[in-house]
Amino acid sequence: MRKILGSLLIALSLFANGYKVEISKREAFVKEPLILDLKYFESNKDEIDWISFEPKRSDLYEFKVLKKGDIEGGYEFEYLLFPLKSGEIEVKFDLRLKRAPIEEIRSKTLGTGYEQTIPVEGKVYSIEVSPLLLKIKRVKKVDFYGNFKIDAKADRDRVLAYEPVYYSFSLKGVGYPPKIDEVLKDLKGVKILRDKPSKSIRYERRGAVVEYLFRYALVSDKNFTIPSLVFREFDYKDYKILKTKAFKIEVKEQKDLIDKKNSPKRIEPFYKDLLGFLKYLAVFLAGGISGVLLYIFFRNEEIERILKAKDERELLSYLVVRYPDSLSDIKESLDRAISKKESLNLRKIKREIIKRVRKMG
Amino acid sequence: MIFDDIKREISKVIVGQEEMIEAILIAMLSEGHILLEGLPGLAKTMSIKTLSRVLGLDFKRVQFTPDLLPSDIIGAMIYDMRKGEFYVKKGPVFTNLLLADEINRAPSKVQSALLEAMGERQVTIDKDSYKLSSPFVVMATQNPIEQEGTYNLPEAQLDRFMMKVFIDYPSLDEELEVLNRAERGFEKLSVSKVANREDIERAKKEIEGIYIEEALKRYILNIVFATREHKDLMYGSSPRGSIDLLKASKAKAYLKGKDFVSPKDILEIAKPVLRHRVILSYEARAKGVCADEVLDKILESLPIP
Repeated sequence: MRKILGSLLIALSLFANGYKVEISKREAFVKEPLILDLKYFESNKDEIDWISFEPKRSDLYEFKVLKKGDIEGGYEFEYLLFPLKSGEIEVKFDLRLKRAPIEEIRSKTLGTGYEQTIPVEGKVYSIEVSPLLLKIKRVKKVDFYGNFKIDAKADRDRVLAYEPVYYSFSLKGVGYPPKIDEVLKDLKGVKILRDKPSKSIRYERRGAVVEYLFRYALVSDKNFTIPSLVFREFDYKDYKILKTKAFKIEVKEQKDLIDKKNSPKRIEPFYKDLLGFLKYLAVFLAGGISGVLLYIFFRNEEIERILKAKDERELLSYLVVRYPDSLSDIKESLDRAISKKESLNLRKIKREIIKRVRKMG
Repeated sequence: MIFDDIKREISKVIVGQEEMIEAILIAMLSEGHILLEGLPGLAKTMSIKTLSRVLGLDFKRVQFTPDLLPSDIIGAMIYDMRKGEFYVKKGPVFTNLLLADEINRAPSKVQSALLEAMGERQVTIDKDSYKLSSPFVVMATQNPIEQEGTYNLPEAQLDRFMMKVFIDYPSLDEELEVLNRAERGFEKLSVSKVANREDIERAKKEIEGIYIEEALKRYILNIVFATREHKDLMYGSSPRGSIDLLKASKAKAYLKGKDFVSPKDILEIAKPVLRHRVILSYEARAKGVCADEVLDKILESLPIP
């Protein structure tokens, strides 16, 4: 019984509630700003935990919120809507709200803040809203939709070679925000240095208030011209052509290309080179010293001397002097080679001597 | 060859010391004398005694002391009371092999009496000259340890020695063999006589016929001349050094059974022949350089012909 009574009360309350959809124009041009006003009225406004009322996402139009807020007995949502395609387009809406008992909302949304982590017990309602039909007129493809002004400036028309010319292009106006990222793409023989474009878009009832600024530094060693920039515009009444001024830049050859003011003589390269050289020298010396030390520590003068012996005569005199009590057979064969001219493989005999000397320790 | 037999017989008694034995043989065959330098107890007396037995030669030993007189070496005229006349009492120098032990302990007049006998191979007692027997080899020893009460041989006297040989300690194995022989008793060790005086005389004649190339004679002179010019030497070897080196090289070649001298013979014998004939400079002595080191450098640097 209680459930039935509750349901009846809700049904009655919903019947007393309602929405209102208003738009500034039903007939408009493509990308013309339209003001869409959505209102929702509710007798038990306090029992609404939250409400969402907005056009459904579509590729036929795009919208931006202008304001959201309470009004007497309900809520108001104002959007700026730009139709994107010509013909009859249907704007659909999404209206959803969550109802909950007033005590529940108060206990869960008021307090120290800790309580807010507890979700409000309630029910989400989705309310059907009739779509809005718009008649959108076709427009030729142009660069800007709205009322815009362009301006271009170059800080000088005469420079020295490789001296920069600072060029700026500004776009200001109201309408649909233009989608441009670059205005100067290539200039033959000119190096273009770009700043990040500055773009400001503010949405107002009259449309998107746009301020774009593109800045460049142009460097060349020859004369060049910054061309006039041409844009087509539709101000929702007429088509217009917007043009900037062309700039002829005279580039004068400069003899001394070293920038002494901004790029004074640096000590870094010299220091860097010296450091590199010193490192190389240190490594080279370390290698050399290591080699010498290894040679000093591990050299065996006796073996060196044996290896250096030019002939059997030199070898014999060395062996007789240094090894008087050993290597007698080798000394004999060397003596025979000298006295009796017997053939002898000096390399082989040296190997044998070294082997025995090493064995002797 | 008889000299191989001699060496073999000696080795029955003496362990090691081949250099000394060979030096004595070379000196004997070349009519030279040798100076031994080494510590006591290294079988010097035993070696020469054994050699005399093997060769059938006379052997005498004289211990040089500070109170020794020249007549104690060469002999003297002694008055015979019964016969009422003087007669000649020959000294120990009248022998074939003489061991003059610790020659540096005797005063210089005794040393010179002996050295004169060594050079002239005859001695004069009173008015008569007496020829010494052949072969006559003096093996003199110097004690390098005790300096007090010793009279070092003057350089001029040293030159009379054909060779100076260093005697070192035996190796461990050699000394073990010495112990074994001592345990059995040295007196039980017997050697045979394998040569006689005639054999030695014949060998001397054969050595005279040993051939040496002119180039090797020049090599000997180059070595001797190099000692006279070396910066570490104040004085080099005398011409007697050249002669002794030639003789010793020939004897060395002969002992090896060769009929010619080879460079190795000269190289091997050069140090014993020259080491006592050179006088080191003050700078070299201050640096601690010894004569053998200088001779090593000379021998290494001189090209063999």
